[in-house]
Amino acid sequence: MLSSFATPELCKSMSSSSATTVRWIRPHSRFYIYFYFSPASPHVKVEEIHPVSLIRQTPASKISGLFPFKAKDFVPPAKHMRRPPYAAKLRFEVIDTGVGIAPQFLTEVFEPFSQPLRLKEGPGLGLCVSQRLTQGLGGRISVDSKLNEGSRFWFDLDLPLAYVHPSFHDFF
Amino acid sequence: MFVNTILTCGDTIKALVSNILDLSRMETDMLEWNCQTFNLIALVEEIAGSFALFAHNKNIYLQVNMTIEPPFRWQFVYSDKIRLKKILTNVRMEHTHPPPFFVLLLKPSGFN
Repeated sequence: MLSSFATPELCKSMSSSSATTVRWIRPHSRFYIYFYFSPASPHVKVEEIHPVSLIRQTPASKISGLFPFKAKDFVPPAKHMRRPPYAAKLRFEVIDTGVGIAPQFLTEVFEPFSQPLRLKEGPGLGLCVSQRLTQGLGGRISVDSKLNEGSRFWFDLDLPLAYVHPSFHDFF
Repeated sequence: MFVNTILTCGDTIKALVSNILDLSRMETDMLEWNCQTFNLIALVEEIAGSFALFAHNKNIYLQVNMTIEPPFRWQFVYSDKIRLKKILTNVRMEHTHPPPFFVLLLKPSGFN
């Protein structure tokens, strides 16, 4: 099956389709698609290029088999084209000087439906959800506590920095 | 006064339902993240505002330390804003017994 198509359109459609399928990927994990085309490559023949519809219906694992390029054709992007992998490493802490938690209960604080304090009216899901969300965002949550002295909940997160043009600062 | 009570109950139920929903979505690996670019400083101020209301109701002293003195480009991050807010709110909900002192601290632990 031979067909001709414009390369930029293929890239655009592939990136948009993968952007819709990677919705479930963990946030903060970097996911880039680079398209490299080296016109000097001897491997590119018209017969080897598959039509857009076929490529889009093929699972990503099989595309590499169909792909006409070899590893040596891939040239890393120039320094100024790469996105800097900057992230702000932040620690959020919530400290209080309340009743605290006894050391034997510290391990089960993050379990669902656990209420080591028996003080509140909720079902005891809050900290469990917090822990799982933090882990989902690629961080970790922990607690230091002493009975009758207070407790200190903290979590570390690496938040990717976003560049916003100064003229758009008011919109956020 | 009654309106306040109704509002508080509504918030409690909303938090409970969304917690249960999130938990069951996580159990089935169906959790969707809604990442967006947002202003980190504004988020912390927002959370501090809700903490302040809580602290005022419980008659406790609230202190907010933001040890982050960012250059302007540090201010905007890309993450799930609502989930981040939920993490902090859930941690805060634990302290129903009124502590006399309550700190929200945000500090950079390095620059990647």
